Amino acid sequence: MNKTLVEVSNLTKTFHSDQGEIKALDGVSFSVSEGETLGVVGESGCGKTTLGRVLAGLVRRDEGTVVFADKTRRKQIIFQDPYNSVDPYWTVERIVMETCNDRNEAIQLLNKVGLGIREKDSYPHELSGGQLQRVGIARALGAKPDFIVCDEPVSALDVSYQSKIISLLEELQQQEHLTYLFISHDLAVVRHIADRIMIMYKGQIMEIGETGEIIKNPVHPYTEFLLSAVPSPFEKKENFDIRDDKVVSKGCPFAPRCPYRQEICLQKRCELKMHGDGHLVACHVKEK
Amino acid sequence: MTEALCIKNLNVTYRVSQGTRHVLRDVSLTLKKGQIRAIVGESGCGKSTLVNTIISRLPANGRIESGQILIDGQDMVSLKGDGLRRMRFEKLGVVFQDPFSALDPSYTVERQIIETVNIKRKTDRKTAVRMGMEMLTACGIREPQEIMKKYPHELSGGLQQRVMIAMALINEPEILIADEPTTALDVTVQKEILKLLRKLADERQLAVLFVTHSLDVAAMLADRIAVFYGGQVVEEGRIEDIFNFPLHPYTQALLKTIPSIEYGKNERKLMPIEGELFSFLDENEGCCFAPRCPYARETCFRVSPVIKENMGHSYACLLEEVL
Repeated sequence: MNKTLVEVSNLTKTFHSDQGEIKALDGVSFSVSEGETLGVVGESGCGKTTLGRVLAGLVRRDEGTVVFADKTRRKQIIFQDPYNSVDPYWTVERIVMETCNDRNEAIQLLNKVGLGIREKDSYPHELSGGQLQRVGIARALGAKPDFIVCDEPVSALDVSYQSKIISLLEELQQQEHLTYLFISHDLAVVRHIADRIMIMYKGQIMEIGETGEIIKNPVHPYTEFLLSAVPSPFEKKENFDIRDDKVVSKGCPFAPRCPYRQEICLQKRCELKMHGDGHLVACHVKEK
Repeated sequence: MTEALCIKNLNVTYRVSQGTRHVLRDVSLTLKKGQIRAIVGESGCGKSTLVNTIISRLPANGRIESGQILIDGQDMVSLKGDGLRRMRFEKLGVVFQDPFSALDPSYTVERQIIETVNIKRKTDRKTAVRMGMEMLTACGIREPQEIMKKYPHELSGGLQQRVMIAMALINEPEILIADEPTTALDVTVQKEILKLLRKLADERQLAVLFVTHSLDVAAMLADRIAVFYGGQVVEEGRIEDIFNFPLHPYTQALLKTIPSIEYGKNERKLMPIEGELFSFLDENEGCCFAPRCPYARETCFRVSPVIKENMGHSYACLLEEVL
């Protein structure tokens, strides 16, 4: 195992709204090793985007710590919607030059992501979503980062562009020794790119472990539920019946929907516990 | 099974500043009662134009050049005014991708449902509300009274889409057209909506035309798939045939370019499809996929392929056999 690049412990972030408090992050602890890709998966509202933004330094955390291996480490972020993450009045060259020093470097960066002289004077609306996402990647690379938060970088793209961007991210990781936090709701994409997967639900980590292990032998009921919903032509999946009880849970956030629920689940929060080699699960019922 | 919808040799063009774009090219499709047919393709392949043509909602620069859209033997293309309107609200139901922008934000669900019911039959409020509650229940909503009183923004994406489906079905259409109805939803909610569509098709003998960009979603739900590229149906067949024996090079390439839950990191390399999407401006003869096709020969750029059919599995390719 490589050495740890970033260590996150007990991260919390609460947003206040008219409807009350929303705990976007509720005691999240994990670490990312140098050169690995950690996939973060969960439904909308599970806190995965907030997590990415806190790690990229765009959102201030309430409590907890984010410690990088040494202070010189740089971090960057790639956003989901390429059109909304660049200034529409700027040329591609100027967008990339925001993070790098001069024009030559900007062109080198553009070449690195598969764009050329032809695109450098274009404006964002003249490019396709796939090309613009490449600009976003070039801009992130300009800061010479060690750690990149990829927040759903391919969700807004068509399938044929998706695979190109995924392949590009994989190549760049090799060349530049990058570490990724790869946020996505698409388990198939995460399965393809990530070394490890972290499953989140309502601001908490439900399960974390090596990708193949999580996909083939999911332990947490929520992971099982998520996997049963992934469309796949190869096998007809068994139905995973969840309930939808109107109970308030002071413990596990998934308890109201969990078919294996026991009394303790509603009362006491379950901490992440070791289930196997590097495989952590937060479940009272399924623990070993 | 009888045919609910039959499209014959449909050709549609858009007038644009650079000339004419031929966006649907000789599209022929059938949809039977109780059948779910998926239309699969990338953005810009013509799948949404097909939907807009069927519901007669082409933009002002769009024109049906030739072809027929037969619903119960009646040709939609030749209908106008009241006849078209009647046909639409009696036979067709439509569900769009984004339920929030399809629903009226300033009306309660109840008011929108009553309005929809009254298009077809003038009933009193009570009957309309009762019908609405029944339909919402059939669409898997457990507390219809509560939902009826709410405004769209108070509902989750999944509930909004269920309300949309209920509204599309309340006038008992024979055909439901669903244009990417689950793309904006979470996977877990998507699965619920797909299950609901399957149930409705089975129980009500509803014919569903399901438009999606995802082959996996199509595989989960549909009976038959039509793969679109460059405004044409390049391959058509049963789910099993399309996945196990894809015959058209585009379908084969598409299957290799999608990440799959079955394969992990470094277990399978994704094969992006090289080249750019088909621009409808070239009026060149030949196969629309030829510029990107790894098997293309010189003839492919000259001769348009004819659709070949074998045991209910058809594809449009000049090559005898592509492995």
